[in-house]
Amino acid sequence: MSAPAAARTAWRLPRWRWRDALWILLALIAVVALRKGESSYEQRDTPLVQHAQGLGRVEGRNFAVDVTGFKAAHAYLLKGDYSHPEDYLLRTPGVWLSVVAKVEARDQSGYVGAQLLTRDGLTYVASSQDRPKLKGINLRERVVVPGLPESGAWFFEVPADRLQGAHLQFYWGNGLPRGGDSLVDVDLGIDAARARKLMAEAKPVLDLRP
Amino acid sequence: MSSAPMTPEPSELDTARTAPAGWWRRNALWLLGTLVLGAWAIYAPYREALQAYQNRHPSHAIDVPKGEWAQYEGARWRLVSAEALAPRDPRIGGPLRKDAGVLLLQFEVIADSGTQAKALDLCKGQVSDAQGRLWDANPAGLPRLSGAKLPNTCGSGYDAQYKSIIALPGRPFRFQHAYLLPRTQRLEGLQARIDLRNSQTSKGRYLRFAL
Repeated sequence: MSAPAAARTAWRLPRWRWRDALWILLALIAVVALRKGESSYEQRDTPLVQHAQGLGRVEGRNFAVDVTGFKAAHAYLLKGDYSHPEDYLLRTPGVWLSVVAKVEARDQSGYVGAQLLTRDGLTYVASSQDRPKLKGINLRERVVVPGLPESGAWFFEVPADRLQGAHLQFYWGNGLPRGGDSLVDVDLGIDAARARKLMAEAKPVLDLRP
Repeated sequence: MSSAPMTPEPSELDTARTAPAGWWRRNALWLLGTLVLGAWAIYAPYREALQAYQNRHPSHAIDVPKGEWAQYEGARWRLVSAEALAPRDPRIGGPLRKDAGVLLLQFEVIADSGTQAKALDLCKGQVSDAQGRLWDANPAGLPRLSGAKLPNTCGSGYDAQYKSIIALPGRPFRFQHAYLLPRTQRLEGLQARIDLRNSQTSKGRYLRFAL
């Protein structure tokens, strides 16, 4: 055999066999199957929902909340401060729902967030500390530390027709519920009759002055 | 004349030498390379994510016995004193909730040459108990405190005359962390922590002082 012929033999491409095509096909099937079984971004980013029913104590990762009651009102009468000394009315185009609770941090300091999830999937985050401005009562943006529970209330502004079927949700942090973290979902048990009763009992003006 | 063939029988050694190598042997090089690169491709992002996580959540404690100095992040650190204030202590100058108590920790830090006070100011102080509960230094609900006017950050602040002071290399700089704890909490079993979060060099380490 001559030298050029030997070189041609050494660099020859591998011979194609049907077995190779089968391996490629199997690999493609595996890739498609794995991609189809992969969790979506929304699934990965979803908090871990823990369901609870009615009033009472519920626990999430690093926090516990004891809900003792809730009440609706059309407006709040509040005490003025140094910039506006006169008492004033805080109105809402919907209805105010106040949720009275005791909050506790279990392992580290931080905030417990609250939101109201309506039957049609809308979310209403608890109103900020300035609305209503009730220092020591409004639980929004209140730091809780281990061993020192905080009592107070969250305030929600919601359309009057959205109370029926509403769920309260609690989570750790001051922003939005975090993926992979616990989201405690409390069914308040507001059926149609309870919603009507809540609205019937809602005071036109609820006096929250100290 | 014998009937033996002219060419001798090939020995077993020759057979092994001339037999075509198996698939695994022929492809060993790139298989090994793929294995090494694949392992590295999995490990490298894991290591990077772990380092980033450890920078934000320090988990390797450097234990510091009472009264001793410890080297950490370009400075030497020492816990000078730990004092739980009585509920009616005159230094508590503001409203304090009935179920809470105040713990004061004084530290001293001596920066090495080249360590900036700004870098030390990034320190975070915490106190932990035996159950792993953590309290942050200088929380929002802390009452106004009088007494020794010390900075509450680790590298700079103001002295009693409201004059700006910074931690100069080689000179001791004293600062104070105040904590709001449950009144029933005992000092025994508590540990003070100092860490420089987000530092690229701390590698998840933090100082842990016995009180």
